[in-house]
This record gives sequence, C-alpha cells and structure tokens, in this order.
Amino acid sequence: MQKYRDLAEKAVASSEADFAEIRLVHTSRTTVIQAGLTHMNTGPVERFTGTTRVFISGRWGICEFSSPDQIHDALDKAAALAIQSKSRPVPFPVLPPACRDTFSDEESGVPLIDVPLREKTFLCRHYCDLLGASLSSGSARVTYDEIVRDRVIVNSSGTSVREIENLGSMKTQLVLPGGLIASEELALRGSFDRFKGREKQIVKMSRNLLLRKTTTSIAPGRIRVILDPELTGILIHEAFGHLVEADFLENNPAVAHLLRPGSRVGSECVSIVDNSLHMNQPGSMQWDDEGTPGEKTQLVSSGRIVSWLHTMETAAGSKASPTGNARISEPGKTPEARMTCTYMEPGTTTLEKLKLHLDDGLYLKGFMGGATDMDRFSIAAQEAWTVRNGVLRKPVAPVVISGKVTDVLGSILDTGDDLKLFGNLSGCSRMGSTAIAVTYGGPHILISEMQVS
Amino acid sequence: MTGSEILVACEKVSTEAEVTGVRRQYKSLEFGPSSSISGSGERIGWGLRMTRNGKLGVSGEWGMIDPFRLVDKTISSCRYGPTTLFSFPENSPELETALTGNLKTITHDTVSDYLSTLQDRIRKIHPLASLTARVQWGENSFAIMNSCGLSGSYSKTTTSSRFSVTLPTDTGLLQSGYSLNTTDSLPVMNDVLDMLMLPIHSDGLNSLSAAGRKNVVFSPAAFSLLLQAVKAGVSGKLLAEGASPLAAMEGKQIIGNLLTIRDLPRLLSGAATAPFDSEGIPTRDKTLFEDGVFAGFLHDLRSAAECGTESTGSSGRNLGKHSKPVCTNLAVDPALEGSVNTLAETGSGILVTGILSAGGGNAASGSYMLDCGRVYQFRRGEIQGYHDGCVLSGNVYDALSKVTAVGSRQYRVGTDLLPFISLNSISVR
Repeated sequence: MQKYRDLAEKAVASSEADFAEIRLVHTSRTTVIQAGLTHMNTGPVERFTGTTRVFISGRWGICEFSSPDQIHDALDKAAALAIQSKSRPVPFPVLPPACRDTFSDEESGVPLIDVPLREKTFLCRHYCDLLGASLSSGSARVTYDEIVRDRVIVNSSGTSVREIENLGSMKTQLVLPGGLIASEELALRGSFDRFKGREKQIVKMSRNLLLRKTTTSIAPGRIRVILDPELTGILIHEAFGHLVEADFLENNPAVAHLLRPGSRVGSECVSIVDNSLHMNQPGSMQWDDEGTPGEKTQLVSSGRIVSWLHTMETAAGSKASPTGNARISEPGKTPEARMTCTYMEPGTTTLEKLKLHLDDGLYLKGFMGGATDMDRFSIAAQEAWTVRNGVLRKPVAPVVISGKVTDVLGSILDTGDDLKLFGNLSGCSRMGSTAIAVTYGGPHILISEMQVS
Repeated sequence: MTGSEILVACEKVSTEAEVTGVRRQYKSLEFGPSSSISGSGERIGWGLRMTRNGKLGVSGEWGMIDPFRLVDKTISSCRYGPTTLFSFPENSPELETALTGNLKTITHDTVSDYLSTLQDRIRKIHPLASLTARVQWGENSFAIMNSCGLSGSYSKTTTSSRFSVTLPTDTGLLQSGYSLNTTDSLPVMNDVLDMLMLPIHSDGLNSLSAAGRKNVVFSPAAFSLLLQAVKAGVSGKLLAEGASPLAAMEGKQIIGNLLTIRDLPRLLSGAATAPFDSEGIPTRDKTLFEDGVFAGFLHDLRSAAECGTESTGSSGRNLGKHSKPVCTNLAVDPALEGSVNTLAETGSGILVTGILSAGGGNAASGSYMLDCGRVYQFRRGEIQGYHDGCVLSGNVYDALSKVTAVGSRQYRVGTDLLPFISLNSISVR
C-alpha cells in the first residue's frame, strides 16, 4: 500500500479543489466454520477499494474506484460531481491537524494473518468438540472470522496516515432442540493468543445452557433488574450512543435541542465515554476514516451531556471539534459519525452489594439481539435469573427488555465496580447500512424498574 | 485480465475450476434535510472455485486481481474445504439480452428533485418530519465460465433506494425506514409514502395495553421479517443438514390456504432477477407454497447432490464464498379482492408496521421473538391507540397457518413483493 499512498499524496497535492481526500483500503477476510463434524472455510477474500472525496464551493462530490491507476480520474469525477451538485452549500469541514504517520498492530504481537490456517482450523474443531461433548442432542458451532485491514487516508491539508488492523472474532454457539440458544463471541484486535485457552468458558457456557433447559416463563411487567456488563454495554450503545452521533442530530434539530450539552439524560451515577484508543478492541482507531486522531470523548458526566460524536463535517455544522468518530460503512459512502468503543464508566459498588438491592427482581446476562429506533430500544437477554432478598434463585426463560431511551438512563440506581468490554466485528448497523466493528461495555448496573417481556 | 486466463492458471492444479466475474457501475445520491452528496463508483471482482483432491475450495478478489494469488488461495481453501459431491455443469445457459430497466432518465438532478418532492410531501403531513435517503442506480454485470465448457454472462440495471423518516412527537421520537430494490426507474412515490408514513401515527392516540392472544396485521415490511424463517426453511442446505422443519412435508398443508408464496427469479423488474444462478444453472420461477401446501425446496448443486435431486437454479453466493440455495424475488400472491391493509376484514387487533429487533428467534426451527417497538391498536378497522414495547413470539409456520386475510396489493420490500397479512391468535406480550 505504501506505493499507492505515495501516488495518492501526489494526486491530492495536484488537486485544485478547496479540499480533496483519498481513502485506500485493502482488506483480507477469512472465515472458518466448524458445525458439528462439518468444516468449511472461505477466503481469504481480498478487496482493494479507493474513494475520493472533494469539496468545492460548499459542496461535496464522491467517487469510488477499484484500481490505484484510477486515482486521478476518480478525483476528477468527484470534483465534477461537486461542481454540478445543486445541494445547498455546507460549511468548510474542520480539518484534523496535519500528520504523516503509520501504525501497525504488528508492533503488538504476531498478526492474525501470520497464524497458519491449520492452527485456526484446529482451534475451531477443538472448541466445537468440547461444546458438542456436553450435548446429547442439539448442535454446536464455532465460527472464526478474521479481517486484516490496511487503511490509508491522505488529504490536501497535509494528512497522510496509514493504519494496519488485525481484527479477529470467535463465536461459539449451542442450539438445543426447540431453539434454545447460547452463544458467546470474543472479538479482538491484535494477537491470536487471546483466542487460546478458552476451554473453561466453553464448558461453563454449555452447563449454563443445560441449566436453562428446564426454565419457566415469567409474567411480563415492570421489574427491578441488574444487567451484566455485556447488557449494560448494549444498553448504552443502542439506547444512548446512536442518539449522540452528530449526523443524526444534524438532521433532527428537535432531538439535538433535547440532547444539547449540559442537559440531563441520566442519574448522577451515569458517566459514558467513547474511547477509540483501546487498541486491543475492535472499533479502535489510531486515526478515523478522515484521518482525525482517535481520542477519548466524554459523552455523559454525572448524568449530563458533555459532547456528541463528530466527523469533520458535523463538527463544522455544530462549531465543535472532530472527535475521531468518522467511520465508513461501505466504500463510496460519506463518513458517518459512529461509535467506536463506547462504555459506561464503573462505580465503586460490588456485584454482591448490588444484589442486596433486589428483594424481588431479575439478574440478566448475555446478549442475544437488540436494536433502537432512536427513541425506544429492545434488547434480548440470553439468561434471566430470579433474585430474592439478594440471593440468586433460579433461571427463567429468555426475556426481552425494552423501554424509552430517555427513561432508562434516569432509572439507573447504582453502577458496579467491574468494567468489562465486549467487541464485535460486525456489531453495529445503522438504518440498513453495512455493519461496522464496535466495542461496548460497562459494569453491572442496578435499574429501578424496566419493562421485561 | 480475463476469466479464461484464470482458468488457464488452474489447469494443472485442479480437477475442475469455475470463474465468476462481477462488475458494478453506479451513481448515488445521499440526501438529508440540509444537503445532499452526489457520488459515483465502480467495483470489479473475480471469484474462483475449484475441486482438488476431492475437496471444494473458494476464493475471491475485489479490485486489484492477481490470478496466481487467486489460484494459490483457492488451493489453500481446498485443503480445508468440504468434500466435492458434484461436477460443474457443462451446458451453457442460453444467451440472454441484458435485463435493462429505464435508467436513462435518472440523473443526480432527477433523484435530487424526486427526494425534495418526497420530503415536501412528508412535511405536508408532518411539518417536523425529516427525511434522509440514499439512492444508488447503475448496471451490474455477471459472468461465469468453467473448465467443463460452460460460459454465460448477463447484465442488468438496478436501483436501490433506502429511506428513513424521523418525527419528534409528544409521545416520543418516531422513526420509520423503507428499502426497496428494482431494475426500474425510481420507485412510485405514493408507495414510498405509504410505507414510510404508516408507522407514523402521532395525532390524538392514547397508549393502550396489547398483551394476550391477538389478531395481528403485519405490514409488508414487518411480514418480510417474519418470512426470514420461511426463507431459511425452504433452503435445501438446511434440509441436507437435517435441520429443516419442512423435511418430508412436500405436498402437505403447512400454512394457511390463503397463502401462495413464490420465488420469482424471472420477475420483470425484480432486482434479484437473473437468467441463471451463480453456478450457471438456468433459473425458473417456482411456487414454494400453493394455497398453503408446501411444494418443494430450493437447491443449488451441492444441496441437490446431498439430497439426491436436481438443482433448482437457486444458487447464490458472495464473491469468494461457498454457494448456498437462496430465494431471489420472494412474492406472496395478493388477494383478488378486499382492502389493501386488511384492517377492515380483521375488525380489531394490532397493526405491526416494523420490527425493532428479531433477536431470540431461530430461523432453523421457525421460532420467532419479534420486538415491534410501537404497534397500533385498531377497532372496526380504525386505528385507536398505540402500545410501546410489544413482543410477538411463537413459531412462524404455526402463525402463518392462522392467516385470516391477505391484502389486495403487493408492495416491494427489499427484493420481495408482499401484501399486508392478517393472522389471528398471535401471542403478544
């Protein structure tokens, strides 16, 4: 990619546009699936894509290309589209500081791509055998997914950055006859070693699923609950994070007013950050897709909004600074303001002490699915356990928690001291766009009351 | 570089080889309330599938293609690939003319005007509503050739439109989305308005309870999500794996007799329309359920070999991935008479306009757990109130056996063609 980066630097230098940008991305994706005794792998599927983006007299033009020798042509096409555009003009973007640098995960261990395929295949088979050994019926499946991404962002304001990411994910899944599912995913950035030595977790997952086999349903209603760190993370991501993505707010002024900095959205114990510099987590970025350096952005502090997530363009519209959250879901598209690694900051209360606040409630664990329509959210939990007088009692059938975004953060009574992060390679899709890698997390949290169905 | 060069590179290292090529050229417009961005682009990719030492391997490359690297990776994939159970086909599909729609009239300006008009019409109904959209239009070309002598190619125009409307109201923020793909020009604006505005009833409604066993009307968008499990169930791959709930059910009444479901790869203006599938087998329209009776599975070459039958020309795959049987343009026949939205026929119940989350279901078994966000209660065919946080659960085949009414017209949802549908005695929490 280095020679194409040089080409791109020369091309933007020769551009007469008010601002010109070139993104070059090479990805290599490999998937290994072990389903029972059946094995299947695909890839690596290699993909090179380039995108030029040009800003002229307040209007943008964008062009995707498939070969580096088309860089100049693509710049011209983007410029022509910007000139011909009849869009209302928008403010000049807030540009990141000029920077010429390279970052590679190779500096933090053996890259995933250098681990032989047979080793990945063996590990999937080994874990699948372990999962299957615990079942008399049903099916076990292990899926390993790997994306190696080499990203170059060059622009006419002096930015030229290159980042090489190694993203990997291993998903273990058990399905019992009747459809009861348990699944766990470990996704990471960097070294393959963290996928090894997971035998204990896998056996524990099987045991938990078998425990849940004889569960009863609970009556739906408003119930006091404790969420585990994974569900806390999902809640923060789905129920809050998407709301402070500035391009959404830009299009919805009434919501932007409700969520203006300083406004209260949660109880005193709620503090939320987006930190793209957890470099061993998916979604982390030394530089975002516009070349803005990644950073830790405080979104909520003691229940009040501090900041939104910005790209260069949304920052210009809001008279703010870019926060390093510009992300591309597909080549040829404009960068969107999206979360990276978003989590609730931990408090000081232990889980045992949180449970003492549950005279009659539920302890919910594990994530099965969820979404938001920006006002309401819905999250399916894998496990639900009754708690009486602070003591864990028995599992009940999987439940869905739902509610209004503005209500739920205000009903958080206390936060645990145990921050955990969970990554996902294709964890976040917004309005039908291609999913991007994100990380979410938080501590255990106690919620006074929420709708459980 | 051409596909035949890749095939030549495979000659000495494979028993059989097959090359697929894809080219997409498009223009796009991203539209928001305050600005729009014009775009264009091109994608080119090659996929290679080969059999070697009795194993099947796949690989693919987009952008810069190196045939020898592609061959090397496919050899590596063969090492861990599934056992080969079939030969690549020898007979080339008949030559087809390009499947072109009327895209000549579409320019960035016409799309921008279309979306501005749509936004104005939405704001006439709800002045605070904001529209965001992305429309992409262009030409897709597909080519295939294999070492057994098959070769074929076709190209088609496609328009892919994605709309989203957000409306702040006293009872919360309402949002609706609608996506559709065609080979035609821009979608009919009234249809887009119908689908986008349906979930946005904001005036004078009260919150009502909706728990229990209810009559439930699914909008086409919600129906499409319910049908995901059926799409999985009719796959010959699931049958071959011994996991299909429809195994040995051919000829039996599975769902309500008001429902006829078809897979239409030859549909005029269908975005998933193709003269042959991704393995080069000619496609044909198929009835999956005739008056509720299950007619048969969809097969690609592999699932057909595993099940001892013929391919139905239903192979689909992304570049560099293994083939699997897939639905193309799924269509549910509309009723010949009656209302469009079935509310009048249903009388009272709840109307589901969209699914917030489908987590917790299992496509293989047909079980579903759909969180619908906001649903609307109706009585005597009129919407009376809403309920937030509504979860529907059950088994999709059981639910579809309780169909009481089907709408009298189809709407496009993605590549599907679906009417409204009314089901009774659905578990609502």
